[in-house]
Amino acid sequence: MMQWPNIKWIYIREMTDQFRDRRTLLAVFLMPLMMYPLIGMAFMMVSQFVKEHRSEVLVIGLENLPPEPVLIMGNLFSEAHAGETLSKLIGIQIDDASVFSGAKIDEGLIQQVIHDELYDLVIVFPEGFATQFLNLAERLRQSGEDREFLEITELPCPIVYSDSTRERSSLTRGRVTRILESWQTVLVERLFESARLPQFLKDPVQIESKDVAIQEQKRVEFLSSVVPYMMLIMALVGAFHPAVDVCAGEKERGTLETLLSSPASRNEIVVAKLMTVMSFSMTSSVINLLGLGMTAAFIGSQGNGLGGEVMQFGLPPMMALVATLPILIPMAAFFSAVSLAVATFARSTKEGQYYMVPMMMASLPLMVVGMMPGTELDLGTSLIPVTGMMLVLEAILKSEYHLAFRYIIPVLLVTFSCIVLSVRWAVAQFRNEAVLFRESERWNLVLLLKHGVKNRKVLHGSAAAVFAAVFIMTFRLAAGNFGIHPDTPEALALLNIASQILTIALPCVVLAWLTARDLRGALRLGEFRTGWVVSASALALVFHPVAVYISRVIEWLYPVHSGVKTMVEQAFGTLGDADFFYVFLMIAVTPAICEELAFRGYILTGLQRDFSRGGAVFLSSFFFGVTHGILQQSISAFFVGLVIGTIAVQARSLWPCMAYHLVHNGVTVLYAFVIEDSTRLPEVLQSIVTVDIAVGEVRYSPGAILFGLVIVLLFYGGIYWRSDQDR
Amino acid sequence: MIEVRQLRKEYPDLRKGSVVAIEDLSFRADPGQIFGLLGLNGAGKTTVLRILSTILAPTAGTARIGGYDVVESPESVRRQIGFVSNNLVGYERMSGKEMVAFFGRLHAMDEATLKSRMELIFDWLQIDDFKNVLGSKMSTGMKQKVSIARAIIHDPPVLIFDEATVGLDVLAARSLLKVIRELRDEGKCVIFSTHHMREAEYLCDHIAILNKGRIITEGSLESLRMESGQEDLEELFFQTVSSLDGISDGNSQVTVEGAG
Repeated sequence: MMQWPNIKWIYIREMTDQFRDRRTLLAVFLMPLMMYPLIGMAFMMVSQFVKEHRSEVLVIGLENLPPEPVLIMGNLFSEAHAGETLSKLIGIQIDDASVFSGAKIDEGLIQQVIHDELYDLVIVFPEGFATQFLNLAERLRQSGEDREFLEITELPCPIVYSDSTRERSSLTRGRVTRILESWQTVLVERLFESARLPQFLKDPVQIESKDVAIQEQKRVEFLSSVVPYMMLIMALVGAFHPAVDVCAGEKERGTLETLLSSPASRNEIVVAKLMTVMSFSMTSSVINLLGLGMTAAFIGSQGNGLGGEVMQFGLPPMMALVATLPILIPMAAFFSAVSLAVATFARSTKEGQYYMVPMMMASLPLMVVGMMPGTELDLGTSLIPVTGMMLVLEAILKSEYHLAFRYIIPVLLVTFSCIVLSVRWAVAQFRNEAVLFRESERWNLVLLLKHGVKNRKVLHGSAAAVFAAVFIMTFRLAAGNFGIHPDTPEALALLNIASQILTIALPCVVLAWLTARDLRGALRLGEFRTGWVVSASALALVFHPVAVYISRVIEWLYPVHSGVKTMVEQAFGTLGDADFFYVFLMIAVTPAICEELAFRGYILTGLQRDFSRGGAVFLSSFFFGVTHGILQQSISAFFVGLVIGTIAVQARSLWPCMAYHLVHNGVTVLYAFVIEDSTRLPEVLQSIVTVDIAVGEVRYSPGAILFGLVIVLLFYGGIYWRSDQDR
Repeated sequence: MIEVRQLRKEYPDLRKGSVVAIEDLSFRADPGQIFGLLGLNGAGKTTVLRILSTILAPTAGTARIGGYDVVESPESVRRQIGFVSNNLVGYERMSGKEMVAFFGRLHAMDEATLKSRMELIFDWLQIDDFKNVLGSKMSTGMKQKVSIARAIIHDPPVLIFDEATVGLDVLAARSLLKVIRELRDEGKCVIFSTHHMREAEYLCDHIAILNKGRIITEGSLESLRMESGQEDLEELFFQTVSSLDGISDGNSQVTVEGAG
């Protein structure tokens, strides 16, 4: 039973404490209110600078310009082309010192004057430009209807030199290009006149584009996608700092013991601290929003002066902004609980701050997915934590309430499950003596590694396992095929096999050798028991329909992006022509050995040291999934990983896992490369499975799927029953 | 009042798997008695006291305070005890008055009782002059006094002091010891850990010497002196410990495993 007065007193104390901390006040209240207006001001100053900055241009070969139309008058561009404002912003120096004169232009010298910042830009009008232009016009005029005699000679072209790496130079280039284009249009008009052609022939087919967006929506479009992002980021940042202070800070100050020996229970302490962190998370989010809103409103009001549609800022309607607040609560709760659990682990506030970056790294992708232009709120995206919430926020801000309403339930369900999990994690952290009273040790990586290798235990622990998983994930994705594009499909297969061995199996074997005395035990290479191997193979066959069905559901929920499809097609498309032996080796045999050595061998064994069986299997499957790179594959790999992981833990051996993996992948290869079409299947099987590789499809009958499901449930039921008996 | 039976505590250890901090520990302490836990750094004193104050759970064995088991009813145990740790830093952004009131409220004291009790204690410990000073501005002596005030605000029958004199100057240490004796005279059961033999000699009615997680000898000061024939407690301690460890003279390094 929770004592609410205890929670109340701790909450009040924590809040008072936080409010007396100047750093917190600065970070949560003052910073956002100051920062955004400052950014806004800076932005406006920059645009003001761009508007008023003068450009210096050197013109070479002014004498080669035709007298008409006039481009340069005195030391300014003609107002007819440049307009009054722009004309005055560009100073022109005519090259009369004859440094550059002569038939040949010295480009090195031109480069020099731009690099030395004497000029922002140099225009060269080539020799004979005017004569040839006038000549062409004259010939066009005389040619009459009979243009066959007309020999078209290309005009020498004017050259514009600028330096794109220099801000001022590229700014000038933009300005000069606009002026020259206007001048060029007049020149072309003159030629059309001479040839007595109608002017519209210059650009006979025109494309007109019209934007049917409602003005109001167009204005809020930008902020509607930025605001949810800002809200969530700030909810996370706002949660993290107080979380570190109320947990790690309490440890650092030595007040934790006193609190733990007071009548408040651990649960009450966690709840009160969670409430404190949540309060700050939400406040920070709202205040940031306020700062951003004020700045946006201010810039928006100045928008017309800054010119162009780029600056179309507008605040979403007030009503929508208010509607986002109730959604902020579960989100703040989620971030707060995660931050609290992470912060509890830290020994000191300093250590706590280090965990901020990994947390950001973990949650940013989920937020960025929501920001990507192609992502829309549907059942699939609403089931992704954080992303779904962000898309709902976006929908509300765009006043698309019907859309938000439709998916709010799955989004809230997912968020609440995340909250429950993370709160439980935080409470567990708070009950864990090892976490609460972690002794401070000095860190020295080299010493630690040396010490670790020298004093390695019989089996490695979860830290080594997680390291291996991260190593594989990083190198697997980074290395790919080492950037080599082999010509033959066989070479491609061999290359892929080599890559699997080098980036998956080898690191784990080396790590096992470095971190465990019992090398075979670390890789789970136990006794080969035929019974288990045969049963695992059979289970793989029976479970295959379920696995295929799961992938189908996943692809229905999260359709594979066409770009990804093309990428895979490009990378492995040629395999279709490869010899079956190579394909089988690459897709079935090698993964069965390499991935099993890594995920059910080294990683799962390490995880089992510090986690329960279920937890270890879950985590190893998660890593196994992530290594697959493509989201849809990752999710189905995760489910298959759960089954193989369970087998590994039960059999205490890797051989059945390899057998399972070999059969699972082997069947897929068989369908794709040998059978290709149901008609080639024996008749008994035809009622169970439909194969049509031409459209990339394998489909099992509902009976087969159900049977597989029942067998797997029985398998898990049996394990549960057995472990119950053991107890 | 305090009853400890065959207590054992293991800590998980990254290198060795686990480390035994205390083993087969049994003792009892009664009201009106100061029970001294004597031992070198790392002997397991803090572990025992943390288990008694329900901060840590024992691996095996039982500990009961006022009839309540520390594992089965930790909440009831916490109402019986006041815990003063060797870490005196306290809440930096709160005044002494606020800190004491906070813990009083956690003990479900009503505001009137809390107020009168605070007046009494502040007067007794001479805290009134600095009761509104923030924790970060307090001297070590001030913090010590606030710590004690915080621990006794709910008038608990059992008081636990974990190396409470560490870091105090002679004067502050003296006044603390005086306070502890006064608490004993009020009938409290006090358990006091230290590695200062003189303090133990001055203060404790009953002494247990702890070495490597085990009680190696126990009894009243007189009975310990009689047993060993040593007048000086420091000599007595050194003799007992070195006879077990084979230490030859005072310069030898004593390595002790386990957490403090």
